[in-house]
This record gives sequence, structure tokens and C-alpha cells, in this order.
Amino acid sequence: MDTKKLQKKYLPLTESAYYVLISLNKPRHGYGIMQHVNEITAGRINIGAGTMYGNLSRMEKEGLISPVAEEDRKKIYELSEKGKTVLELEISRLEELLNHGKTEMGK
Amino acid sequence: MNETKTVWRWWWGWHPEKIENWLEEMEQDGWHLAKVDVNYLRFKFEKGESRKISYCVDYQLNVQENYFELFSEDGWELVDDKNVPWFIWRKHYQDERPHIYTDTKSLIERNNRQMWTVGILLPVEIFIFCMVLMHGSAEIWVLAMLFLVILLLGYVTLQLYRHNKKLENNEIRSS
Repeated sequence: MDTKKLQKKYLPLTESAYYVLISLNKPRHGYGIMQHVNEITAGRINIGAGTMYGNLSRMEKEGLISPVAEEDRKKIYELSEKGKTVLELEISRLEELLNHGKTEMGK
Repeated sequence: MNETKTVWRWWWGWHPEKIENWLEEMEQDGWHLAKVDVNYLRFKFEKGESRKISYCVDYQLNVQENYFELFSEDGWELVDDKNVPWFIWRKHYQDERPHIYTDTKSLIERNNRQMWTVGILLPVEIFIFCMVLMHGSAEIWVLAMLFLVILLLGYVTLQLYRHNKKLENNEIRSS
């Protein structure tokens, strides 16, 4: 899929989706992602179990993440190539926002 | 034996917060939810100490096993009626009330799943109504019942749609 189509379909990501994707740069299961996000945001973002399950099911269906293993009924996921591309597009979009903000505000 | 109490309560799927808040208040008053049945309309309580418990209602059409695993790992306990697609989850808490849905998009998706169900039921119901009507021999009360069900399904669809529009426009904040 080309860049334009991916941008149109997936961007902007919700805050939860963004944090789920960056967490899956390493293989993790749902609860592991929730803990990791809580840790790196120093408790600012707590993704609820329902929101987490919804994101994982949707992203798996869309092929942004893929299950790599199953341990005690827990599904372990990792970013797919497509997911990686979408995440990189989102990071450039956010960079652009940030740079515009800094320039306009004279910082 | 503990004192018990049974309450019938009607509630709508587009704002389960009403039932969630009510159950939480009951727990604060020391009424522990012991059982829910009759299609999630009859609630049985047992008297005990006041507890601080968050209740959350979920709607899922086909869940995988990791759904239950994820919720239980996060400390949620299922109050089971064995009557999917509704799930009532609860969790003890101290300070901030936890919720299973933490953004607007997932609330919209929960409503969309309900709209899917209604979207399948409504045409089937209309089809049956038309067949019965054309057949011409049905009693008037049968027709009236079928028509009422159509009205009810139509009302639910409309409310879910309106509620989602409000969520999209940020008129209602997620918790």
C-alpha cells in the first residue's frame, strides 16, 4: 500500500493506539503493554483493559501487529512491517506538528 | 444467613454508566452484587460491609480467550450471567475509579458493535412483520407485538447513532 493510502486510512492515531504500537517494537502481551505505557508516561496514561483489547483486535485484523506466540492463554504481539511503516508516518507527522509549534511560538 | 435483596432494573445499552454508577452506589451502601440474571435485568444483592468497587459494562460479539486473561490480569472480576454479549466487570479500588474504556474511540466502538446486532435483527423483524401481514390471518395482538419490537429496535438504533455523534463531537467526555 502506498504512503498516501496508509496516511489516509490510519492517521492520526489515537493516543492509545500510538502507545500500543510503540510498545510493540518489542514482543509484548496486552497487560505487558499496559504496564509499559504506564511506566514510560510516569502514570499519565493508563490504558483500560477494554480499550487495550479493542486496539489489539482491530490492529491484528488490519495487519498492523501480528501474534508471535501464546503463553498461558496470553497472546504475544509484535509490530508487523505495515505497522512499522504506519508508526514511522505518524512519528514524522508528530515531528512536523512539534516543529511548527516551536517555530511559530519562537522557541 | 445474610440479608438479601432483589431489584429489577431496566437499562439501555448506549449509556450503561447509569447501571454502573448505581451498582457502585449499592456497594458503597453495603449491598454486594451476588448475581445478575434474566437478561441482565434482575440484580441480587447480599448485605455486607461498604465496599469501593468500580463496575463496567462491556458488549462483545465474539471474544477470544485472551480477552478474559487480559481483564483478570488487570484485576477485573467477571459478574457472570453466562449471557453474552454483555459482560459486567468489577474491580476494587482505592483512589481513582478505574474504567475498562479509557478513550472515546473505544466507547464508539462498543456502540458500533451493538448497532451491528440491531442492524441484523431489524430487517429480519421487518421481514417477519411483512410476511405475517400479507398472510392476513394473524391476530391483531401478534401484529401489534411485532410492530412494537420494530419500534423498539428502531429506537435503539437511533439512540446509539445519536450517542456516537455526541461522542465524536466531544459533547460527552470519556472517563
